[in-house]
Amino acid sequence: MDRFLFAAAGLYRNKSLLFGLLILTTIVLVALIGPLLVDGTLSRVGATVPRQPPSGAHWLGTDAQGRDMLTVLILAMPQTLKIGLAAGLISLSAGVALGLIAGFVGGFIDTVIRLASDVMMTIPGIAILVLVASNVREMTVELMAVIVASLSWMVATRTIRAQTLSLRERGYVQIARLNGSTGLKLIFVEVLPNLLPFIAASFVITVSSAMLATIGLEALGLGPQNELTLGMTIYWSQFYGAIIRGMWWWWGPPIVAISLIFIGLMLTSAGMDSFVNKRAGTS
Amino acid sequence: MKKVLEVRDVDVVYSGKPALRGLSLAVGGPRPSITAVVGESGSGKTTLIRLLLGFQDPSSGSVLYDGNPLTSLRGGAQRNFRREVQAIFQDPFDVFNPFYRIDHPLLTPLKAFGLVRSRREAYAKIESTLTRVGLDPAETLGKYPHQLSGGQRQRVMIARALLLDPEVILADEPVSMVDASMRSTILEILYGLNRDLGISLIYVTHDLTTAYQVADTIVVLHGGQVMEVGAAEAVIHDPRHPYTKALIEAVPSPDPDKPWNLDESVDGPGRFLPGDEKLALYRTDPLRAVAAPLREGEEATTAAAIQFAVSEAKAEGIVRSEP
Amino acid sequence: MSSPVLEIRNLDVTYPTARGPFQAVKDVSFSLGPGERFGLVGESGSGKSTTILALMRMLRGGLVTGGELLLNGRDLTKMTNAQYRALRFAEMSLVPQGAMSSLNPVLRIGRQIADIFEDHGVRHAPGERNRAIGELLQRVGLEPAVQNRFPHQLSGGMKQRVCIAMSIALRPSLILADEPTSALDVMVQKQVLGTLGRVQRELGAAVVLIGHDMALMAHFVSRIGVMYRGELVEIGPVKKVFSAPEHPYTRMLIESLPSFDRVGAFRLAPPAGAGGA
Repeated sequence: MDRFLFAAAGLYRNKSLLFGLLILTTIVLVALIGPLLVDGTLSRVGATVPRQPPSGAHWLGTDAQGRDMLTVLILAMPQTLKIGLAAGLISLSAGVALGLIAGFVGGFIDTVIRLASDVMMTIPGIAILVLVASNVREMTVELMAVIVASLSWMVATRTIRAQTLSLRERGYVQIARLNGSTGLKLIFVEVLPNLLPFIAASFVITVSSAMLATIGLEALGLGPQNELTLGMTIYWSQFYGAIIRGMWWWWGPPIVAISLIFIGLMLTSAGMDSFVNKRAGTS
Repeated sequence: MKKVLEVRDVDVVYSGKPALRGLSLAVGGPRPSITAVVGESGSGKTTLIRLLLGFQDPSSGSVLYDGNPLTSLRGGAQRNFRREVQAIFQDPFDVFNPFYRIDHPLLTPLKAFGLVRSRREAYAKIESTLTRVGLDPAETLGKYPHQLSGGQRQRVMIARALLLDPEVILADEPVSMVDASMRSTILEILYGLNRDLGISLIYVTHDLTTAYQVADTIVVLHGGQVMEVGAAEAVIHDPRHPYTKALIEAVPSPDPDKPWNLDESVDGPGRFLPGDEKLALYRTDPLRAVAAPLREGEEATTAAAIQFAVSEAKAEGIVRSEP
Repeated sequence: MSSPVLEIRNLDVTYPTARGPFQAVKDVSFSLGPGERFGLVGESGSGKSTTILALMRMLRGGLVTGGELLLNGRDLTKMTNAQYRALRFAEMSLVPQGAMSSLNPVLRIGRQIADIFEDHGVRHAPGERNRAIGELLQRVGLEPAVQNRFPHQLSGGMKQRVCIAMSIALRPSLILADEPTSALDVMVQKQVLGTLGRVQRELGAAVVLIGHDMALMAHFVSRIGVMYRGELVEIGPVKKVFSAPEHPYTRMLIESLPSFDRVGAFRLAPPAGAGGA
C-alpha cells in the first residue's frame, strides 16, 4: 500500500510520464472497445459510396473503394498495436534473457552475446526488413512481429547486461550468496526485481522501434496486404493518389493516430527515464 | 573442535600488479580470537576478504577451510563452509535489497540451509537474535531498509550472520560508515560474539584505534604484505616496524593537549612500500614478528603462527590482563 | 577586537518535502574572527553541511527561511546570484568533501585553476599565468608540473591539495572545508590537514572545518561548535569543550572516541561465561 502511494505521488510529479500513459491508455481503450461498436462490414471494399468527404453518415468520409474511413481506422488500430506489442514482447524477452545471461555468466558467453548485439546494431534494420518482407509469399501480422522483433532485441540486451553487471557487485547480492542463494534464485529473487524499471523502460523503447519499423514497411507496401493496419491504410491512400485528389480524410486520420501513439510512447519513455535514473541514484 | 579458515602463502595478481604477496593468515581453531587486519586503501585487505569468502581464487597458494582447499569443496562440505563462514560488510545501505523488507535477508538463509522447520520457528529464532544485538524485533521486522538508521541496519546484518551459527565472521570495516555514537555499540557486540559465543573474527579496518579496542592480534598490511604482526597491546604501544609507527603517529589523539605535530611535514605512506625485494616475517619476540628483507638461513615465520601464539597466550591469561 | 569575518545569526534552513517542510538547520548562530579556525562537528544529518551549503548558496532544494549571513559585514542573503558568483573564491571559498567528483575529469589541473582567474577577471602577462599556477601548487606542496596533469593521474591526497590550492587562488578571507579528509587514509589525512593549516596561516584567512571526527578537530581548530539535529547545542574553545562538555550529546561524542590510552569499556566487563573458552 505504502509502495502504491509512493508510486502514485511520483507519477503525479512526473508530468511527462503521466501524460504519456494517459495518451497510451486512451489509444488502447479505443483499440479494445472501438471494434465492438462499429459495423465491420463497412470496412469492406464497395460497402458505401466511394470518395465521400466527411459527413454525418461517414464521420471521416470514405475512400476510393467505398470503405468507411472511421471503421477502417478503428479496426486498423488494434492490428498495429498488436504487431508493436507482440514484437516488443518477443524482443524484450529475448533481450532480458540474453542480457541476464551475459551479465551473470560472463566470460566467453558474454563475449559472444555482446559481439552479436553490437554487430546487429550496426546493420541497417530496414534493409533486412525490406529484403525479408519482399521475399515472403504472404505477410501476416504475426510474421511481421517476429521479423521486427528479430531486429530490435539488442537495446534490451545491452541495457539489462550493463545493469546486471553493476547489480551483481552490489552488497545485497553478496549477502544473498552468503545466505546460501545460488544461480537462478540469485537472479530471480535478488537481481530481477531491481531491474524492473529498466525492463519497463526498454519495453517502451522496444515497442516504439518495433512499431516504427512496422509502419515503415507497411507504408512501402511490404506489410500484410489483406489486413487493415494504420501503415497499410497510408500505403493504400498513397497507391490511389489520395493526396493529389485532395482526399485529406483518407491519409490524415491514420497519420494523426500514428503520431498520437508515438507521442504517447515518447512521453512515457522520457518520463520513465527520469524515474529510472532517480531510483538508480538513490536506492 | 573448531575449524580453521586460512590463506596459505597466497599471491593475488591483478593484471600484472600484485595485490597480495606471500600472505599466510588464519582464523578460527580451538582458541577463538579476534584478529584485526589493519591497512590503508590499496593494502590488499578487500582482496583478503574476497579470498576468505571464496568469492575469488588466489593467483597462487591456497585458501583452506578445515584443511581442505575451498576449490575442492563439494556438496555438504561446501554448504557447511558457506554457512559457517559469514561476513559483515562496510556499507550498511548497500547490503539490503531495496526491493524487500528487512525480514528477507533474515528468512532466506534459514530456509536455504534448512535450519528451521516452520515459519514460526524461523521468526522465533530471528526475534531472539535481533534482541541479542540490541534491536527490538517489533520495531525492526516488517520495515523497509530505508526506514532504519545505519547503526540499526548494521546490527541487522550482524544478526543475519549470527542466525547461521557461524564458526568465523569476517567483518570488513563494519563501523566506518556508522555514526560515531553507534560505533562502540557495534564493536561491543562483535567483541561479545567472540567472548560469549566463541566465534572467531577477522576485523578488517583502516582504523587502528578501533582495531586496538577489540582485537587480540593486530596484523598490519601494507602493499599486499604483512609489515608487522603481534598482540594488539604490544603492536600499538611498542610498534617495531617504521610503517606501524608512522600509522600510529598519524592518528589524532582525543586529548587536545596531546601533541599531534600537524605542522611537521609528513611523507605519504608510499615511502614504506616494499620494493621488489622479497620480504619475510621474522619473530622478534614470542608474540611478535616484523617484516624484513629475506635473510638466507634464518627461519621465517607467518602471521598465522603469531596469531595462534597470541590466541594460546590469551587463553592462558598471559596477555591483555586488563587493568 | 576586530570585526568578525563571518557572522551567522539565527540561521534557519528548510527543505520542502512530500511530507511537509523539514527544518534541517534551526536557529544557528556563530561568528569567526579574522584568521580564526572554527570547527563544526556533528553526525550525518546534523545540519553541519547544510549550514555550509547555505553559506555558499549551494543548497539543492533547501531554502534559507530565516536569519542573517554576514560576510565581512555584508548580508549574503540579500545578494544577487551574480554578486555571489563574484564573491566565491574571492572572499569565501569551499574545499569540498569529495575532491574526486569536484574536479573536472577532462580538463588539466592548470586549466581548472586558470578558469578561476579568468572568471574573476584576474589578468596575467603571457607566460605569467603558468608561473602563478605553479607557485600556487607549490604552496600546497605539489610540483608545479602537476598543472599539466589530469585529475585521474593524481592520488586522492594530491587531488584534495589541488582543491586547497584552488580555494586560496584569490586569497579569500574565509575558507570553508567540508570534511576535506574523510575519504583519505590516516597518513594522507594528516598531510592534507597540515597543508590546509599552513596555507591558512600564511594567508591569514579564517577557516570553518566541518567534520565528524572530534579528535581531528581537537588538533586543528581553536573553537568548536557541536551540531545535533539541526541545532548548535554547544560552542566554545576546544580545550574547554573537551575538558568540560556541557551538552550530553557532546559528552557522548567525546566519550565514544576510541583511544590508544584506554581499551573499550566493554572489555573490562567480566566475561559472561567466566573463564572464557
